[in-house]
Amino acid sequence: MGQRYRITETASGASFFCEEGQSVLQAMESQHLGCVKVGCRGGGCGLCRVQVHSGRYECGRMSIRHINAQARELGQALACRLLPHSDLAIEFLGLADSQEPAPAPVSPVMTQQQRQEVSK
Amino acid sequence: MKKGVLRPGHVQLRVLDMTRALEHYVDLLGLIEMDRDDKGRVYLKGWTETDKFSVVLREADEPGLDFMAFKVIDDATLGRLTEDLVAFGCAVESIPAGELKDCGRRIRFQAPSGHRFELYAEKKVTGKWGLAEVNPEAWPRGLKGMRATRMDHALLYGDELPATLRLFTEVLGFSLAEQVLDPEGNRIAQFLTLSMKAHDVAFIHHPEKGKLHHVSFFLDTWDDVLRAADLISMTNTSIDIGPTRHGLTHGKTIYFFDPSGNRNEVFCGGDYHYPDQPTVTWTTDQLGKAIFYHDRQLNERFLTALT
Ligand code: FES
Ligand SMILES: [Fe+2]
Repeated sequence: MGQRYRITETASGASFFCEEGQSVLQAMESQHLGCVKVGCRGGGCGLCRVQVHSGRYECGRMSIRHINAQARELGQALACRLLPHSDLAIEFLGLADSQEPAPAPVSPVMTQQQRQEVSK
Repeated sequence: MKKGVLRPGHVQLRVLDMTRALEHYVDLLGLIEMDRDDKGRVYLKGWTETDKFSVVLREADEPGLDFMAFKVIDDATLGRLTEDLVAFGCAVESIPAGELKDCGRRIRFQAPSGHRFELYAEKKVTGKWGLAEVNPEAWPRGLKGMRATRMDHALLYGDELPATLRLFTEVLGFSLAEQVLDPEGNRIAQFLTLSMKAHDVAFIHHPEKGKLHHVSFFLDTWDDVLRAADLISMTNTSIDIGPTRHGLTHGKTIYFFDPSGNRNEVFCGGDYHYPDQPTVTWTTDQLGKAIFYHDRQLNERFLTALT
């Protein structure tokens, strides 16, 4: 077995073990705890957002809507994408109001004139 | 079909990691990879679909739905609907033929719910995958995973449901097949169809605009839904709920998530709807049963985990 780390959720005081390579949310679920909300488990929905207070970690891909560069800088993460490299102290935050505006248009937007021409 | 809008044509989904998305949509759901383009998008479809693609995946730093498109009967209809949409008050954007490979010109507009929709008239017909055009066999060999047959519908969360309903019924010719009403008579859910299906697109009221709840794929039988559930366990895929039955539409279903957190459904069965039939109504005091017919309880994740 690889390294195991102790994860402590400070708001509830709950703690559990997480193995190297396992996400914090996955470890929490496998130990039947509910101190962090579980949504998509894929870094998309933002329900599992936490503040990391201490410890070393890396993150898998996370939706920029829920964790933007500034939030990442402040130590926020999505627990389903949070891979510890040491013991961690985390605090559950949950879904925030959107941090990013809606994504950029998916194809070039036409000018009014082009638009009129095409719709003719 | 009253206004010449035929059926759901495609969805473009944003995923965080294309490699993992393809393991999910191709190896697990069993969609067929049909093409890729120079923007890195990947084009997929269910094996029974005759047009070239119905799901387009795009890698982005936020998952969710770029747009859902409906096919219309011909180019003249597309022109007429453009005018009708403008008259309704929609800003209509034109997208030239070929922007999606082998798809004709598209028009794009935003519904009051905040979702982007498209209409198009032409897409390359490649036929059912793996079957001869004449004297086709029952099914092709070599299908993967859940063997999803087609992209069926999407459930979208957003606000301004009354205006969205007017747009879909009055301009686009959808019928309101099923609905959920609160005690004041406000419609908090609307299931809309172009065909005999219980829904081609559905909306549930939510304060934030433009959110995706799920994209759904059709399976033939309850055994196929159970087998899909087995595959979800075998692959350790993130499950939401099921297998179970809905009260709304009475479909037999299972929900799970793609690796970027977009919710998927595979389902079979359910109600049919003809345009002359009355709308099926559920009330909010029975909402748990309306959504999950057996549990009769809503779970928070179903209401809040969105992309
Ligand atoms: S559970 Fe959805 S982002 Fe973590
Ligand atoms: Fe559905």
